[in-house]
Amino acid sequence: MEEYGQWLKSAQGQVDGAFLATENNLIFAEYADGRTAWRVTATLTLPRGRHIATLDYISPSDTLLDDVEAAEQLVVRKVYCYAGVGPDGNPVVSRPFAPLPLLSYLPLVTKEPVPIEPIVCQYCGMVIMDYVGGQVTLPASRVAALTQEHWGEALCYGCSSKRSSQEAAKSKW
Amino acid sequence: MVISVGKSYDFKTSLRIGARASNAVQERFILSGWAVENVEGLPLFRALDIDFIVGAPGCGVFTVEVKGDQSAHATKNIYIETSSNDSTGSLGCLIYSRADYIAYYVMGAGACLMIPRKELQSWIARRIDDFTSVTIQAHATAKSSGTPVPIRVIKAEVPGCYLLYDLPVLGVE
Repeated sequence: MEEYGQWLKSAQGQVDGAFLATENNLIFAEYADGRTAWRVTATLTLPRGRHIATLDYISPSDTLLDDVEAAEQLVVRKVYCYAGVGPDGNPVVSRPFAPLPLLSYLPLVTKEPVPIEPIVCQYCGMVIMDYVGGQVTLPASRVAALTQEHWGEALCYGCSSKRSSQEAAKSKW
Repeated sequence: MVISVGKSYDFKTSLRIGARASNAVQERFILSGWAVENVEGLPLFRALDIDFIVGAPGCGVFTVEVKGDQSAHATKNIYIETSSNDSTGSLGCLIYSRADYIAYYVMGAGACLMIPRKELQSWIARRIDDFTSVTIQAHATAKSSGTPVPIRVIKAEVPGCYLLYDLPVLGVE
C-alpha cells in the first residue's frame, strides 16, 4: 500500500465543499453533513499528471477517523476519486464518487465457450490452465481458442509465449 | 498498438498517442465497474494484438485492442490499415488482431468506438473494395496501405458497434 502514499500525502485541503486529509493511504473527508473515510486500493496514472484511485468506503463514524487500524478492517463498498494538480499548482483530490452502471451489454457478443473435456496443450501435453492476471482471469478455453485461431494449435500460455517470442526473434533476422 | 494518421509521426509521438488512448479507454472501463488487466507487454498478447483483458463477476471476460487516431476527429474517417509496412508485407492491426473488441479512440472528440473485431473483419472482407485505398507515410521509415472509411458507415453497418464517451473530469484537471 505504500506506493500510493506519495501523491496522497501532499493532496489535502478544501475540495468541493469538503476538507480532505490523507494519511497511510486513507482519505478522510469532512462534509457539512458528517465525516467519511476511504482506503485507496489501486491507482491508475492518467495524462496531464492526473491519477484515478479506487477506494474502499470505510465508515462515516467519527471514532474511526482517529483509529486507522480499526478503519482498515471495515470495507463496505468501492468508490473512485480523481487526484492530480489543481489550477494553482497544488495537489488536489476530487470528492469520491460511485462507479457508473456496468456496461453489461458488452460481453454479450463474446459468450465463453464451456469446455466439456480438459484442454491439452498440443505442444507440451499439459492441461491448459487459465491465464491468471493481477485483476482478471482469462479462461483456459479462451487462451486455447485464441492460439488455435492464430497458429492453428491449442497451446498453453507458456508454450504460446515461447512461440511468439521465437517468431519475434526470427522476424528480426 | 498501431496509430493510424494522415501524416508522418516520429516514434515518440506515436508512443505518446498510443499511451493516451490506452489510458483513456482503461479509465472508462474501470469507472464503469470493470476490472482491467493490461497485457500489452506480455509475449502471447503482443503476438495476438491484445492490449487489455476486461472482466466483471457474472459478466464474462473479453479482450480489447486499443487504437489511437489523432486525425479521425477532423476527417470523420476510420483508417482501416490493410498493411502496416508495405516493404515487409505486415498485416494491419485491424486485420491481424485477435481481440474481441477494437477500441478505436478518437483524440480530440473524447470518444471511443467499440467495434466487435470478428464482425469488423467480415465487414472488411465484404466491403473494403467499395472504398478508395491509399498509401501513407505512417512512420519515417515505413509506408502503410489502407482505406479510410467514414465512422458513420462503420457504426451503421458493423453489428454490435457503439460509442463510449470520456467522462467529465471531476474536480481535478
